[in-house]
Amino acid sequence: MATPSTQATVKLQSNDNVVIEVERAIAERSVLIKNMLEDCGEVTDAIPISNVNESILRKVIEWCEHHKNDPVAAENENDDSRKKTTDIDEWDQKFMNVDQEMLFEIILAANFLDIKPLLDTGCKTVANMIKGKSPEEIRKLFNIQNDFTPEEEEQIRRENEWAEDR
Amino acid sequence: MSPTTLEDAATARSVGAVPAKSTRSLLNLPLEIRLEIYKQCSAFTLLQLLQSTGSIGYEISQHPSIYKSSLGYASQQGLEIKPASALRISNIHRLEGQDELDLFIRLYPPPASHGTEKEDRWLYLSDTDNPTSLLEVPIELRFEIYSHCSTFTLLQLSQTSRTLYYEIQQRPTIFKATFGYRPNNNADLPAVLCTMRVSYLESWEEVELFLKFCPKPKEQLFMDINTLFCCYECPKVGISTSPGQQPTRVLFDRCMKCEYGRGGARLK
Repeated sequence: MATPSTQATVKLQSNDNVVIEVERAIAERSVLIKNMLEDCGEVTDAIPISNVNESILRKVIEWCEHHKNDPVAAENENDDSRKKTTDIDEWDQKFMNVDQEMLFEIILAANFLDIKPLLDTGCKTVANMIKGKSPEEIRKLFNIQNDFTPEEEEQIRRENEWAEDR
Repeated sequence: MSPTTLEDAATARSVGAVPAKSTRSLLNLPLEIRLEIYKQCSAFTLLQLLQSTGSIGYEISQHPSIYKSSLGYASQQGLEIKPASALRISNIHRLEGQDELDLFIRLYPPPASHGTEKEDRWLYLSDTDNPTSLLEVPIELRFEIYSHCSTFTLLQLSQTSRTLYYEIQQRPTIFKATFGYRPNNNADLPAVLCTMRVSYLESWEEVELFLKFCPKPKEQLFMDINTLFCCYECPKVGISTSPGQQPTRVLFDRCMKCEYGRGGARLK
């Protein structure tokens, strides 16, 4: 087993080969990196973050820096306790105020790096984008093609008729 | 004798490349090493391996924890898939890289109708690392997004395209867990996400959308649903549908989410 390290910073390498040095405590907001550092001990080489490019990695680091003092959720915390609300704090709302492509890339990066609070914030942001929009508006928002046949549309209309006995 | 055709040349090269007496192969490696290798494979690659030989196939099938955690695997909740533990093509929802995409296209050619009316699978699958649309986000992350939506929002989303409709309607475990879901009292009826399953709306804007969306004259609808009631702590609006009950101005003074805190709660 590797001995615990007192290393203050770690280097992260994006998939476009940019190396970014960050405080270890900040990098350890990522469970993936935290586990890697615990397993390997002292790491002098840059850790390759193969699925994330520089701009997204910097964005994720920015989020981790802001949230570095947040309490880390217990591993056995019920999944439901971090869901069921679409409330996002003001800083996170501004942070997530990016174009759709970047938002989805942040979500993918959070998933890859195993940063659950960031993943939740990203998913809540998308959920909030959908909230209050009609199907037609949602299609426009996400560039979704309406491929229902007239028969299917009729079926959906029937499903949604108001009937007390359902 | 020198090779006369390209095929002969390729055979000669490949024969020369492998030592004649070598017995080293994947199957000769210790099991724990093979399992480690499988853990590094995507779901689609595991599927190919599974079909390569009976022993590897058996080995992978016996370790659902490995293939279920592989990249691109999606379980089929709500659908009866037997045997439940087998990895099959219907579980593959994401490919890793161009090589896998090429192989997928070769093994599973697109249907004749592909183009204007794509099959669901073709919309699910994406090898892009730069998603620009909700449909390009891996399916497991779409489920994550759905879990943050209210019942009514999810209902709206399900009406945008066939892909999303079937994706959401075939997974009652997801929509039944959303905030504002009204359980179906009639166990004989299939679980369908529809207007009748909506018990809470997120805001008065959603009430307007709900009234616009619900295919019934507004006056008739108001008679049926008795009343809309507003939570005093948040903008959520409840819908009561108790038949025969006289309309009341306020049924509850706090919505379930405020009553039970962050985790929310299902309506009884």
